[in-house]
Amino acid sequence: MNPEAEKNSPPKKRGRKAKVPRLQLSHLGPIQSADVRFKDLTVLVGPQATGKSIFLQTLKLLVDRDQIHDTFKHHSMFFNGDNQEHAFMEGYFGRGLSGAWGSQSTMAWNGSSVQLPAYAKPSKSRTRHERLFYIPAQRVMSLPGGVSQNFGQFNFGDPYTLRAFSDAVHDLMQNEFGANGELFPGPSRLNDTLRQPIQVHLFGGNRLALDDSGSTKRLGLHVTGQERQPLGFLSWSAGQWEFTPLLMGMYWLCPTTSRRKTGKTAQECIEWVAIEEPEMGLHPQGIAAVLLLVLELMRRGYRVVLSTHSPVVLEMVWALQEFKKLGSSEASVREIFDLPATPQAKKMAQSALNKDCAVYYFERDGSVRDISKLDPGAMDTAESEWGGISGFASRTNQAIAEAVCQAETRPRRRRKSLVKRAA
Amino acid sequence: MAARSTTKPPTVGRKSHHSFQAAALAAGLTPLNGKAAVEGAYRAQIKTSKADTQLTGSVDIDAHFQTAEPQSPRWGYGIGVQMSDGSELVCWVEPHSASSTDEVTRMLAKLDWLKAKLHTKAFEMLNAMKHASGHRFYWLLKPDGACRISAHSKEARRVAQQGLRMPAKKLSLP
Repeated sequence: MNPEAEKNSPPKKRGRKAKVPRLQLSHLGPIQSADVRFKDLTVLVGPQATGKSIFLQTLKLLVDRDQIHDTFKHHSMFFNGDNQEHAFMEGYFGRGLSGAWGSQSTMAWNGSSVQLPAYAKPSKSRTRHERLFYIPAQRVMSLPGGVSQNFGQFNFGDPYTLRAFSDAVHDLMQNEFGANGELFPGPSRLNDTLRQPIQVHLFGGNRLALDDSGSTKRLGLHVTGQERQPLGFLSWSAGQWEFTPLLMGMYWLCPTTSRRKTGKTAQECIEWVAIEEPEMGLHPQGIAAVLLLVLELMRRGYRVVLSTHSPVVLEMVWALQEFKKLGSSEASVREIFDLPATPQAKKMAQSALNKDCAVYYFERDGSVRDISKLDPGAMDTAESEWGGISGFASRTNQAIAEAVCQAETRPRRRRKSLVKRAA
Repeated sequence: MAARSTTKPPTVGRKSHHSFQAAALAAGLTPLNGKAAVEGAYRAQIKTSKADTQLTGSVDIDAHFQTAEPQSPRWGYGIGVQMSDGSELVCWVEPHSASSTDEVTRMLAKLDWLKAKLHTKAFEMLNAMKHASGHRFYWLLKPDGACRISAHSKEARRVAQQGLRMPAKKLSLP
């Protein structure tokens, strides 16, 4: 970690054990009932359209109510009149989602009852800075054609979380990186432990830079040996499209400058980070590189909430929990990421062992279950198959085992002829 | 030394009409009723999958071969199951830890040992008492035992490739 970033290490107040935040809700969109207690790392799993995104967006609204209203106001978007609640819900969650909160809906945030429509108005709280940084699933839309977009370039009805994230990326690219131009591996925001796997598994040793030769600053990938003609955004791999805005989000959360416009560092303001599907488009080696970034966020004291469909993410959570149970050393954490015993890597690995994790399964029937133990031998298949994520692998193993036994019952001569025919 | 059977084995692929008790005796083993041969701590974890099937007997293979083969990776139990059509088959159950992927190698060594036994003359009748889709080999965990073999691991695939089911805390036979 560079000295500047080290200076920006988490404030001590986040080091002590605070009360575990808790969100209980019922009848919100597809969610019938949920009771989620947020740990240092909370992972949400479940099939498509079971409410993971709306749940995370609701969390953001509960945490950042006034900052969200201030942002809308800053962009001359006001929600007044008879239709205020409907308009705000459409403007915040996205077009067509105002009906997610119905007459049967209930919600409690840290034990206090909440009426979501009341959030269509700002509160009188003095805390108006952003506390939850949200990296949305649609993050690739923050960089159409490799050009960043500010909040106002989106339309009413585009989700607030996408607009706000895009605005943060735009600010970074136009202002902080405008002068330098090199986005990767150049900036010293990430230490070598984090940078090396990204360089190898995500950019293949190439250089990511802002090309300002035209009228707009555009991202380009500089391939070794072809420095003059960078690869345009649409010529990149899908994984690189998905990862680049995520990397920008990481830069935003790991600043080198000591103060932001507000006069505070990002880490002094932000307590939570929500990332939707960090694995999007990536090979498992790339996902492991992204998970190191997640561990770094946790080390810095952020409370991280992820949604995922990736077994790699849950393998890591399972391993961390087992290592803690077994009293393993930080070397075990480094082993799963194939990290050398550098001081940076050891520090991050040790920190990961001191964190608590939780996993919740959003089921198709609308229920949300705590499957944090992730015990592969659990009698409850929701837990043993990790919310369906390892269901296919489990069935494959079972089917193969049965096929092996079946093949062994066939007379040897018949088996040989079947094998010959197959060949 | 197990006694040799003179009974003609049934045609492979057809249901066996041996009784578990007779087949176990033919192998030189001591069959006990129901789950009696299974260590008490594991009995509650083993049931039949359907109401119209029943457990007819069990043998403790591990104990039987302890003196003759003290160093061998011996398998635990064979359990007879009577199906709804009256036929009987044997399910092979080994209580074994899955506390790390290293256990897979130990478990597969036991499975190899059992398969070798099933191909001996003495075990001919027991070998014939299999499900239409082949033998059923089960890996049983203690109720509070940790399972650290994930379904995505290469070790899980090694287990499957040998025809063994993944570790479970409850078994529904067959």
